[in-house]
Amino acid sequence: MLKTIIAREFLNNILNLRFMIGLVLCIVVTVACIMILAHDYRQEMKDYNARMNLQDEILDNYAKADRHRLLGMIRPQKPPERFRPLIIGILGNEDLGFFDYNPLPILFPPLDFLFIVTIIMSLLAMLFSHDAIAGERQNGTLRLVISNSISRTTILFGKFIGGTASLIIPFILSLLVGVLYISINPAIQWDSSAWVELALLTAASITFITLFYLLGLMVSTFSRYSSTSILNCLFLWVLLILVIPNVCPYISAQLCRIPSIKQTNRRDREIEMHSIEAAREYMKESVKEFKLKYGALFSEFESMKCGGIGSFFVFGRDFDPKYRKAAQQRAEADPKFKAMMDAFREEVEKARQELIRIREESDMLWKDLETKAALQTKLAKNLACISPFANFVYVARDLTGTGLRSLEYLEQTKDEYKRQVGSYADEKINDARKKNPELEEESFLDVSDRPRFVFKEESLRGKLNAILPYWGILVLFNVVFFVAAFAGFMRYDVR
Amino acid sequence: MIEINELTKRYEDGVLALDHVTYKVEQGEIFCLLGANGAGKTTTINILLDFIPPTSGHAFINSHDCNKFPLEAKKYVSYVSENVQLYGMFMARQNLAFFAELAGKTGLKKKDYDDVMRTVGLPEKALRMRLKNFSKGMRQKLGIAIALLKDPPAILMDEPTSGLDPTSAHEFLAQLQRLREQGKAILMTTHDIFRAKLIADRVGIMKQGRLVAIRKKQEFKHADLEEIYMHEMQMAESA
Repeated sequence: MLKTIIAREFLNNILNLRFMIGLVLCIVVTVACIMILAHDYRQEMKDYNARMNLQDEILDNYAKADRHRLLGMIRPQKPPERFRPLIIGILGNEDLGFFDYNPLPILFPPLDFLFIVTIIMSLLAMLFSHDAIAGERQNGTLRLVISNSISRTTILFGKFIGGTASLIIPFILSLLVGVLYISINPAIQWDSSAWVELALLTAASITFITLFYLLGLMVSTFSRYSSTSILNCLFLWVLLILVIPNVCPYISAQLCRIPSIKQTNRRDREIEMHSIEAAREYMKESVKEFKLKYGALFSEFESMKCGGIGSFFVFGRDFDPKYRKAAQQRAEADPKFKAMMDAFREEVEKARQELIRIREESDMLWKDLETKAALQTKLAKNLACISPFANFVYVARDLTGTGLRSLEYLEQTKDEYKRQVGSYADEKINDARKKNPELEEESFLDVSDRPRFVFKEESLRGKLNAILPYWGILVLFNVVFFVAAFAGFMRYDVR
Repeated sequence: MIEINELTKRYEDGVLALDHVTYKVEQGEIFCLLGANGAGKTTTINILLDFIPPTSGHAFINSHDCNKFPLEAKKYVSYVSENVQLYGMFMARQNLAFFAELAGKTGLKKKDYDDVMRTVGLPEKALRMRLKNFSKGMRQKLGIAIALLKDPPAILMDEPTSGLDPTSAHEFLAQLQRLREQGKAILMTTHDIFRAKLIADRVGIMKQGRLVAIRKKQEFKHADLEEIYMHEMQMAESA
């Protein structure tokens, strides 16, 4: 009996004009968007390779024995996400920029797989199911079906399975065409884990699509006419897809208030100015005292541009190299001069410590902002879970490494790489100094054996752990909508 | 075969649609329910098919309580509505196959479909026609064909001749005759006193939810059924 209902529902749907429209729309949009995104992917890959080559060239020719500058030159470069031909990711690399800047995509953002599933397929699902019950009641066929010895549960299950199957066909067909394009495109090299992720993404998409089919079915069981059913469906669609995910960040911002970046910047500048002023004042007093105490000796020291003014030291600068030697020779020759220089250095250090102490407040300020912003984002993310759209986006993006989580993961791998490069630079500079004690910071340093940044995708297990709760919520939505549809249909007046 | 026992239905808005109605339809009998709109004819059928529950009383088909064991009861009944609506995008054969399968008749052959089409007076080529191209008369006949394929002992018909042209209505009555000969118990609601007189073995006259009279064939065969109907209605009014 169930098989009969499924077959009828399936056949009825695929004979309908809306099926053909859905099929054509899905195939055209999917193929077009994959072609465009694959082109962008090639472009970004080229861009990435160019940046890598440029960095290699610079490091091979201009690497200096200055740790700070060296670390600034070795920057981790992230390749475009491997799912870039399907999903437009959140740009996770500050160095990423197109060489051929085109402003049009800002005005008309290109479509991607997420758009197809969340917008086109969810609308299509509701279009298929909104009249599954109300439409049959209106046509009069429901009476005839129910006049047979068949339970309403069987009818509802049959409609769900048959309707979903007919809905999945356009989606799977269009995806297959897209997959075929990806597999024959030499610029896109996917390993087995990427294909597994694609299979999981397809499964998650089907969960999302069935959810909207069930939502339409549920609305249909509470409507007398298909016209009211479609209106109610559209209302719920707008609410779940557009309103809730967009409103949640505002609600979260109200519940968890944080100072703006501008305010924080202003306060940061105030702290900086205050710290500079405090250090200057301190050094001014010290210079006065030293002048009184050492007289001509200190004036001589000042004339070497070393002391110039004490604050000079405080801000991380030291003797000008060409005067360093002269000051050292003078100190070696005269113990009094040396004692004065050491005492002055101590004063400078005290001023520097005072400056650091004041600036710690600034660090705290940014740390606090970061913590609060993370909390606000987390709250917004969790609030948005009441929308199936948000849950699907989390699943799809985290699974394909194109979402917020991938950014965090990228930052972690970058930090790890920076630590690795830091130790490498220390070791390399020390070795070079041992070999050549006269090594200057401006001297060339051979870093051809430097560690390379290789971006590795997060493990599938890690991704699954992250996405399963959101996927679970999607399944729960399915169950809730089916139970509601069941309850509605049990009480449905078929007359 | 069809038994209505003290059946009462009061809707949520307070309207009393059926008021302690009792009667039986035996095998090989055509029982026509006559009455004005809102008399409770369709409500009776709706309760028999478990579309709505009764407020009190019972309805049975082949001794199965239609409210307590609806799936069991519906195994023994077919339903032909006033306006048979089938799946417009399907061909007649697909519609027949679908409803036959719902009735538990699987594995039907082309010959079975041809036979039933012939029986109801539809051309065999209509099997391959989409339902959206069928006239109302053709759809009514196909509705009968669906009922025939199920081959149940009882048939419920809700104003089946409404809107049919005279020829189609005539053919329809001939079909009913054959079904009676096969021993089916037929409960038919109608406004058409003329055709009820021609085909019914008994008529029940309903007014505002009450069954005010039951007349046997002998009582109206040579009389004017319309007069009887009007008389019973006036009597009910004055009572």
